[in-house]
Amino acid sequence: MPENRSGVASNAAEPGRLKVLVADDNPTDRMILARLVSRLGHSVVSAENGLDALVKFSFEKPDLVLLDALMPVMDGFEAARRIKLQSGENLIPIIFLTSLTETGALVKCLEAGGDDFLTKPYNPVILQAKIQAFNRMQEMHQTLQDQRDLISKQHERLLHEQELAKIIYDRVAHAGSLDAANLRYVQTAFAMFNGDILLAAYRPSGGMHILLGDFTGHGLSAAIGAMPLAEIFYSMTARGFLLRDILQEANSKLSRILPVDIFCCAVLIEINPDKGLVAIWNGGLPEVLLLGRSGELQHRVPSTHLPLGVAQADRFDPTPVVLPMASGERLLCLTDGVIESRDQAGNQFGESRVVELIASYEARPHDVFDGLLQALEAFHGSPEDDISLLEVVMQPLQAPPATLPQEDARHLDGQDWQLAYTFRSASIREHNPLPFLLKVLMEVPGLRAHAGRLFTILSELYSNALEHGLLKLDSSLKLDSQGFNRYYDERNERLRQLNGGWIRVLLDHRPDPNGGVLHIEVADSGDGFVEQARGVVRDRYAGRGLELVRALSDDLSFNPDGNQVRVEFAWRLGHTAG
Amino acid sequence: MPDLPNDIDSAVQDALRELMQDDYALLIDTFSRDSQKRLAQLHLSLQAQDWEDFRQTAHSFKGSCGNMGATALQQACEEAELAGIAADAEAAQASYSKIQHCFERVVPLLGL
Repeated sequence: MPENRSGVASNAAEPGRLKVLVADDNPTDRMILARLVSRLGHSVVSAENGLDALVKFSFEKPDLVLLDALMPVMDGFEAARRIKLQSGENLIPIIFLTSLTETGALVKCLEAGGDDFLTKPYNPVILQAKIQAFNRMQEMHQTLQDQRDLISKQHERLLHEQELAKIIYDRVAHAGSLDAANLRYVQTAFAMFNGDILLAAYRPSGGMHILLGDFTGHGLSAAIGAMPLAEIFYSMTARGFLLRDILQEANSKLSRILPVDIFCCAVLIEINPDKGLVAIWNGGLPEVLLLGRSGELQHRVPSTHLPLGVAQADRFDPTPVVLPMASGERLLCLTDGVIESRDQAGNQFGESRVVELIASYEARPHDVFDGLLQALEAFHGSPEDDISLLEVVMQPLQAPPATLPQEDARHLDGQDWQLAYTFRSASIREHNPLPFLLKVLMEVPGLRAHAGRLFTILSELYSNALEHGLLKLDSSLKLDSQGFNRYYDERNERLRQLNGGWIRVLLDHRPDPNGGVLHIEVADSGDGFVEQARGVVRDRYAGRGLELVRALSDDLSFNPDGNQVRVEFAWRLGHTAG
Repeated sequence: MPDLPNDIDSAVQDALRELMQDDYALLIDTFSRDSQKRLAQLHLSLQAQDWEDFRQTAHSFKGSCGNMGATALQQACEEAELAGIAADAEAAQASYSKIQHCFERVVPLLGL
């Protein structure tokens, strides 16, 4: 509060007018000095001894003290010590009045807290000079204190705001399903507040989406982009959007809202244990490493994309690398903080050290994660403080708890309906209709517990109709991992060029006393693909889709042309999620 | 006695008259009362051979004498202070007598 500066100079009615305490047991000297001081324009408080001076100091809060050294009751030395104690941080100069000349006595004055001396007989000019000098010193001292207090107050507020932001950031950046059994991660507090973000969420159709990101910059500003990114990631994953949809949306949102120099290096992963597949999109982070069952390095997925928030929407490429990934295989993902960790000599840890370390843990894949942490600590000389490290193990995922509220199946009559949508080529090229269809199904409370199964069924049927019916892709391509990438490249190319054709989805729901029956029928304008899917091609990767659908539904049938698939799905009242 | 200090430095007195204005008489009165108290105190401590008290009293007296321009008296007080420090009974007695003597000479000069 600058208008109420503590103590100093505030007593004076006018600037430069001080309140001066004159303490001298000698009445003649006291009288003369008091008059000298008041003649200089200051107000005077007089005291007859040290104790009197101390009491008057407390009550009158003078700006300056003129103190005789030798006084009865309490001498000037003791009074000076106590006055200094009382003044605390404020600078209240004490000038000793003395005719003492021996050095020892003068030293004693200084030790007691004296700031200067005034010798008897008094010289008005010297007195004036001293008072002015100390007044200036006081003003500087006060300015310094005010500035310091202001700085410390602002610093306090900054810390408080950072703490709040950190709590919110913590909740946003660490929400979701990071505690899933297939994930292990280390993310230091420092790294997190420097804009590292780690998100994981179960997909409604099974499998998981995982995001490891590293925003440019440091501190709060780096963390700000995490909020919209997490929001997009969680809401779109929950509504059944594909990795590429999420990437598109995240990129366009971040490039819209973030300033040019802030963007997010990120790895997005879709892991699908049912199909034994992993899709990895790497934009600007170090290589993602795929380790085999015995810890051998099988694949390195380097960054092949621009970070999120850099490219314009029409130039952004959300195509991930798709790899087969068998149970027990694992992914290692790291941020630059790991690679750029430095030893005492300033050398970087580097990607080659990571690869060497993995080689040294061959046959012990379970220990790689800890081994890497230890190696970093040994290299750096102390626990690293700016790293995010993630390990994803391919294993069956625990069914996530139903996230949509399950309601009593009341008003069943209102759930007796049929609807059909026909998606034509322009719409098929641009949009993924599955989240929309799932949302329609979720209007039936009894179906909500089955969101995951229904989504899987819908997405399998739709992608069959699209990829095999309309795009006429041969799933035998997917026999090996190179084939996978060829397959998906080809898929994207043909999708881009799709002109004509349609996919029709018919949903039919009839309630019955025990629950209801849902029919899903997906037809396309293609020549039929079912025979092919049923026939020869039955191996590790391809043709699994329909098997999966058959397992998840109550009945699966095809029309003779093989371009229309019909699924029956019955649900029972009181049936719980699973 | 050209080398002896002045009993009263008239320049100092002029300055004090100017400084104190209407309170000048009060100042002289205050100095007079205080001086008599100091003299009595010096006498007591001399008798009790309390040299620390003797020294302190002389020291304090010396200060006001200086401010009043009572130069000879100031010098006598200083001799008393030194005698007190040295705990020299003879010198103390001598300085005390000198202080008495000097004070008597100052009294009429200040119109006391």
